[in-house]
Amino acid sequence: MTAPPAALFAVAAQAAAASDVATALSLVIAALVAASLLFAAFTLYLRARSTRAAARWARLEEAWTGPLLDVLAGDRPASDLPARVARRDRLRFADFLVRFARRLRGPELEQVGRIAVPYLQAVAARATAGSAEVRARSLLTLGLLQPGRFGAAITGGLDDPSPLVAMTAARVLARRDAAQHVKAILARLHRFRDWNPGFLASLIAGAGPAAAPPLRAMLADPRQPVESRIVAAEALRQLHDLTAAAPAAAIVAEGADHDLVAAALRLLAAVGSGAQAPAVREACASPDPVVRAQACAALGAVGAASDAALLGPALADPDPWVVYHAARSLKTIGGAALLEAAAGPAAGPMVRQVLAE
Amino acid sequence: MPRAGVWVLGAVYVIVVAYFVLLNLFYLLTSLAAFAALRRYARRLKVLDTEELIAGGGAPPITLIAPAFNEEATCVEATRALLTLRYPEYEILVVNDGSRDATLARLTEAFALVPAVRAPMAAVPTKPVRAVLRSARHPALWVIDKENGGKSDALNVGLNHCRTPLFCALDADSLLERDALARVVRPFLERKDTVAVGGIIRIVNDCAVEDGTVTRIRLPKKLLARFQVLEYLRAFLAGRMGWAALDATLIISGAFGLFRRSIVVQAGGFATDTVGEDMELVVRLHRACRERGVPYRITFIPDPVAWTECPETVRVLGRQRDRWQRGLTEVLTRHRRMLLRPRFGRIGLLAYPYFFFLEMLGPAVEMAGYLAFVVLLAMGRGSGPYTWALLAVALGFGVALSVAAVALEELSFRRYPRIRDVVGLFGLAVAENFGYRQLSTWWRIRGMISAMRGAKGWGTMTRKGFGSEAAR
Repeated sequence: MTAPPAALFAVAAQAAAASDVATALSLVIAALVAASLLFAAFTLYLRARSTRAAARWARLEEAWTGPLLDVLAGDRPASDLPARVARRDRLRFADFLVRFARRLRGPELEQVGRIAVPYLQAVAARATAGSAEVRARSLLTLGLLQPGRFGAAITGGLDDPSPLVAMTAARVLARRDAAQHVKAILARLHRFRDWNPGFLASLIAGAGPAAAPPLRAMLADPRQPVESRIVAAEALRQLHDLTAAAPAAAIVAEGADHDLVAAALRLLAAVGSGAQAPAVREACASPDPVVRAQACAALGAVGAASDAALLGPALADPDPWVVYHAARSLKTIGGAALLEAAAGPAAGPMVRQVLAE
Repeated sequence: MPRAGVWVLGAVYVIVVAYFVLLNLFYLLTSLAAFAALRRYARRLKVLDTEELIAGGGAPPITLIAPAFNEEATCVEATRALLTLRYPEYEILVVNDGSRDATLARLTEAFALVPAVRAPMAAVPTKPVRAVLRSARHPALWVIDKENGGKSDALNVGLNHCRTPLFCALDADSLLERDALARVVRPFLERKDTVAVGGIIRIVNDCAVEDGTVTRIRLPKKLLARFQVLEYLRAFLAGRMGWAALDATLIISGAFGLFRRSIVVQAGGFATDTVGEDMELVVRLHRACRERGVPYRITFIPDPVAWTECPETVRVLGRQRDRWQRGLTEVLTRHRRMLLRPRFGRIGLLAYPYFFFLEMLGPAVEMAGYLAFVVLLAMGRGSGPYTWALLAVALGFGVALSVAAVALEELSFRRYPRIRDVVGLFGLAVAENFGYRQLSTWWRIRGMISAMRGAKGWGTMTRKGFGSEAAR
């Protein structure tokens, strides 16, 4: 039992006695001291560099802000500005304009975009070269300052190997109310399948009503991936697209994927009408609690007072979300009296909460 | 020397050297991973305009759950700070865990709380709820008064009453930066399989706080708090960032973490029988997701900040470290099935062994090393250059890694604007090795012993409050 550790100790003791071990340790110590000093020097260098950069940036901003405001106010011609921008500061000036442009809308933004034109070729060159972060940042700059002129470069970003660049391009394109851009994004939706569907849907809905037709087509097409159709349903809900109710009801009636059916029911709760009520009523009996809850919620929007017979028993559902949505829908279709009647004298806290809302 | 003594010293020697080499290899690995990840992250932040991401819509609503037990000194200001966060849709649930001081009265008075109805949406077992109150002035602010059951129990009450897809677990004294929620939610937007994200905790002692916002950042005046600033930088920027880069995040601080509600409810909420409930939940989420084959991601990001007050006395700090080590020991022994099991991936093969052998058992090994050194000195054998050289190597590694952590801070966020604070941190990197580190080891050993004895309870933390004279 004692042999191995004792042997190890003996070996270690011999090793300790060996001068080469002592030398090695000395070298390690020297290396560690050197590393510590190097890290400290690096830290101080970083601090000096960032302080210098901040000071330089402040000087440049101060020199550019006044003249730019004068140009925007019409007190100075835009042709005065290039003389104030050194060649080596062109990219910085573009950054400065971006910071400025973020606070502007409409004609002022367009004017800043026109001022930026001479500097944006340098930015565009970086949209296809350099690191993913540089490419993405270049697309943001182009998209904010001259989205029309550099539309091809921005759309090209959708096919960039980096997901960051592709998503940046999508964000930039979705800001513009143009159907062809939405189609381009939707055609590449598989690239963004890792992203949160609700966030993607908001991004696409940001393109405005022009996004609705291609989204409806995607929602209605069973060949499309389920994830894409869920995003389409959510985007259409945010756009409040009334004509999406029919394909949504078809999905609910078909009852294929639970997540897709739930998304379609959420859409129906926002845009549905009595015509879709039969499909929604059937979904109230789904074995999936999320579908049941969304069906109860949708029934509040598309149902009638007679649906109390369906929603009343849902108040005893084991899933609290089903109870919550059923209670809210009962209150919506028949007022507090109907909810109180359906709940009976032993109304639970959920019913009391909905009554108090 | 008797043969048994040689045997013991030999064994200690081998274990201490192996521990030392392994520990520093892991530190080196995480520091290098953190360096690459932080550089990439800092560049990436320039592309991602957090405000724009949030303003564009699609940011999921969040419930902030802040358990409060005897927090009369800080609860009003901390809650007020939560009300000023920049995030489109969020609710605040302050859970008064049966405080024996004036916590509830202060909250009621400051926010005009009135009785309200709010039904639970989950049924994680908890101590009874006494009352649900809602602010008449701020509709998003709710206070749930319950019988005392500990922090985990209070979090579970909050979890039961949470109605949003995500919830943020906080300490009652956590001071979130205004954009902290907008930042910490980003991984949930970028990866739909994200289930938990941790943010960075920074120390607020002696910083200036106005209206719930830290307006002037500086090193604390007290040495003990200064050491903790360095420790936090090392733990978060080098440690957690490194582990996140290796996709093996095993800890999300209880002071600030964002979780997917449904998956935490499925997992049964926070464990009430451990003081390491934050780590326990994360380990359990890893375990549950891996065992069920559910794709998931748990990570840490360094830019969302929660400020917290750290202990300034040896007694309180000792209790805190005792509790941390106790929690770590409880969690790692409870889930030891995950240790070195390939089915748990990097968690089972990399992170868990590191925390088990080096963080949990490390203090005992380190203390054994110190004792062996003293014995050798007493025997007249420890005065050789070799022994001193080993100590110097240990010191050198400690200093180099701490200075590297300061460099990481400078590389990424530069939160300490005064150069003398940065230089002060270098000095602390050396000074902490003489006394503080040994004291810390002792506290951790005490924590291990407490865990083995099955000790319970949190101990108390005396707070000055954010608006204290010292902070001004």
